[in-house]
Amino acid sequence: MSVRASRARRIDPRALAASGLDWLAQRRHGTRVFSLVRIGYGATTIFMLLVNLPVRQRIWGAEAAYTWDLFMQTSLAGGQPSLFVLSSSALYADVLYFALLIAAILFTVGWHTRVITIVFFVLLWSLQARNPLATNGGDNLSRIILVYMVFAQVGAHWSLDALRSRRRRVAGAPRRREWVLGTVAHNAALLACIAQVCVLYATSSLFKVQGEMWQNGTALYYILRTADYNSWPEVTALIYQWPIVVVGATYAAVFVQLCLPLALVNPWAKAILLPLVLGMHIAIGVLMGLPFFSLFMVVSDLFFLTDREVRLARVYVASALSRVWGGRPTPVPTVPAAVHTASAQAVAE
Amino acid sequence: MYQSRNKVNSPITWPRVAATGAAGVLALHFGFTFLHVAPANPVSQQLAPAVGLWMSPFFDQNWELFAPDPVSRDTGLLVRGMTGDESLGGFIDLSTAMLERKLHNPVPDNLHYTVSSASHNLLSARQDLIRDDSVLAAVPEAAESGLFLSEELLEAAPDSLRTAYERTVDAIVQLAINAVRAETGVTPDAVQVRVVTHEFPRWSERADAGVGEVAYSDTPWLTADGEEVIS
Repeated sequence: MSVRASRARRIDPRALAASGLDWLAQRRHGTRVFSLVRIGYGATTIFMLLVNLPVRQRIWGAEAAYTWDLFMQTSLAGGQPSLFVLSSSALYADVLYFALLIAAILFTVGWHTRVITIVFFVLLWSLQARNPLATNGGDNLSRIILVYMVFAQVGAHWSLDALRSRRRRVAGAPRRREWVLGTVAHNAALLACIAQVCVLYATSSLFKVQGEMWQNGTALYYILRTADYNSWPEVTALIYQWPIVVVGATYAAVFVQLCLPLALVNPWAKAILLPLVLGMHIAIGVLMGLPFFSLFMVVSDLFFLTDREVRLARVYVASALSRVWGGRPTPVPTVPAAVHTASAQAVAE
Repeated sequence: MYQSRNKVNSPITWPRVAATGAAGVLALHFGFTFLHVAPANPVSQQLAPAVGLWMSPFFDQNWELFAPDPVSRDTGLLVRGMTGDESLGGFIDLSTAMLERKLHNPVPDNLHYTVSSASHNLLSARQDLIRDDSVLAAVPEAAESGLFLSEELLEAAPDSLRTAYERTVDAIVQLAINAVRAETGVTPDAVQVRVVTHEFPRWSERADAGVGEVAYSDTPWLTADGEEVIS
């Protein structure tokens, strides 16, 4: 052992494994990122439900072309449980719809987040299973991530739960102890979310490189010209007249998706790729008329950030805002990071 | 890492055991996820039942977004109905109404998906069947089939493909019945579905604002159960 240790910079696999396991078991990571994703998913769902309010019965209710009988034969037979099986009535469909809306609001504001995450998932899943024709990739990703979020602490920040526990602490209540299994589950859930987003980008890009149109750089033209995704034909017609724009954006889309997982290991890759992928999703949302897909994707991209980066961004935004508004500059926190971490843990249930 | 020496001397603690368990679950789950999203390979074929059981329904996913190639044609869906021997009017265009809902609308609702997914699903389920090896072995001329596939062809197909196709037919028939009822106020006994495909100009002719090549294909008259009406 001592001979090995004396050799310069030999990696000790046991120490490496131990530090990896301790990363999982000692402290909850990414609580700020999870809280941001909670707010993002919740708000996007509220937005989606409000926009679909006038047509809800035609998609998920009694007037749906995907009839209740068809749903019972296909979705249920396909192994997709849903609360919609209990009744075919329009009233019941409305009850579930508005229950989901309320759950989405409570999820966003972080009220009893542990329980509400499960309620929100069950109701959202039920709605999506009721009419599989009306879902898209953003729904698919968010409902998988929500399964992992059930195991995580997603209400530690910017939530009513955090407010309540801060009040309790101020009133002198003792700090709640963190359950080790809860910490392990939380960190495993964080890794699962990150891995799931990487699976999406890796799969999506690797299937694209096999396609002839992605290889010859014209794929974007065909996408922009497809009537189903052409909300602004005047604008897209201008875009696709420029070969350099079409070819550049086609290749960029593939390269950005292929390389995005590198953002996890290299800060330069992150600084370049993350803004590009955000730009890509915003362009998809606006030009192709897919706002909810776009929002779910943008929110999911937050898993590439760390809590430290979220904190830095918050300080930066706050000071920029105070400069713009000319008010009193927000004091930059001078408390050592370790204390921050401790207080973040204290907020934990 | 610097202080790991001491810890390594007493490496087994309960939190580490729990963490090892979690790492094992993650490895298993993402191993299955990989096999689920990767193209069929010898390992995924061997483990297909286990992978299906693990991933379905809550982790089902498909990320072939505009891949391998984006669609390079528009698909339109038209339907008409009849009761007894009486026609209930001409074809009703379902797709154009949906496109109009989306045009110049920054936040369209999800209704448009229900029409576009129905026709895309029908076309792709049909495509999967007529390219299937066991179908081609039994019905060599399968590729020349219309939208509505013959019973002979369906019997030669693997169960999963057959079920997927029959479900898309059922969904589109229901869509048609609803549309005819909404338009005429009468519930039709039988409906006919027309899928219009429109290959828009290729890249080299992109300045052409025209419609390009238009083709269409009809199903026979179908009852609510998706059965062919024999007259």
